[in-house]
Amino acid sequence: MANGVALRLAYDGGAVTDAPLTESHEPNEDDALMARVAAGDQRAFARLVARHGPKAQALAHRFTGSAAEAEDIVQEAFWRVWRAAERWRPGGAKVSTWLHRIVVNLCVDRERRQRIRRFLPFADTFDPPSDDPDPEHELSDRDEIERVREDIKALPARQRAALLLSADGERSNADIAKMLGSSEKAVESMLVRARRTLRAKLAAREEA
Amino acid sequence: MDDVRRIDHFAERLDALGPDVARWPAAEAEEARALIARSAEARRLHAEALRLAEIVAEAAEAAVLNGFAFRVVADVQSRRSDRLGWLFDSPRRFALAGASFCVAALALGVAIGAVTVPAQADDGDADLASPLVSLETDI
Repeated sequence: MANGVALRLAYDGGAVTDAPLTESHEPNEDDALMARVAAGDQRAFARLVARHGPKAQALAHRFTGSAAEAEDIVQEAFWRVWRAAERWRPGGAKVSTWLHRIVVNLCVDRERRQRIRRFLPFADTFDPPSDDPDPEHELSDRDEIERVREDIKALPARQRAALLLSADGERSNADIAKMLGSSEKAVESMLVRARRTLRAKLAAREEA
Repeated sequence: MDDVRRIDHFAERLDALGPDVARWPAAEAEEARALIARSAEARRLHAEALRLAEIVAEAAEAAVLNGFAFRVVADVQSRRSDRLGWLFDSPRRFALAGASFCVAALALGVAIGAVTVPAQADDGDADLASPLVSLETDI
């Protein structure tokens, strides 16, 4: 079945462009699911969402600070996956790498738009409040994790994305580089700066 | 390289690669393990990096709201039907799309005809002229 799928998809006119397809691996469950999604199988799509949605949602949530915004982003990302499924080439990038790359791009784009909007004189400058526990009041009651979440949210976008992608310890810097469309050295540099910033803030709070 | 510089380098690599030395490139991992074994400062840095990694891992977690997967799938289904619905839900839009298609097909036919039918400008003049000549002769 998987070979049939591979043969059927081998002729595709163009690879999915959100990720460079340089990562080689054996056809796996995700490839088989993508082939079924390409044929319009909604159950396969639901399975794909169940497999990768929660991690994508967590990444977007911690990047944006809002569960609602994160869900919009993840919905848009899966819509792109659905539309591009016919062009998916098994044996290329992992589905998770591609999906996370889309999610990071959407997060960064959204943040950029929000930043630009703040400078427009007649624009709607309302930003949805963070879903996390009260950002203004009860600051002293918030535990360290909430403070670190605020610190992470204050990091530059790409440092934040690299740090969040590395947080569960499951991805190598090479994987993260693919997700960010960057080099491994650049990812190392982002992680060094992000971790130094967080450590300095932690130390400052402990001293205070 | 003296131990002070080794420690500085180790601190930098801890930030770049994380505290799980087992995931580092083999040569660097071996050097890091040796440094941790003999240097209290290296052990302190490693423990600090582990603590930061644990805090960040916890901070990066986010609970998924109930019904999340269902909403994502439903969203994609509704977008699919919206795309087709845009065309089929409105007779006017459907007619306009059909008319546009016909006009485009006609324009394409004319364009193809203009390119593929051989030009007969010179001969054509002669052919058109000859009946006239014969008509004048008859009169």
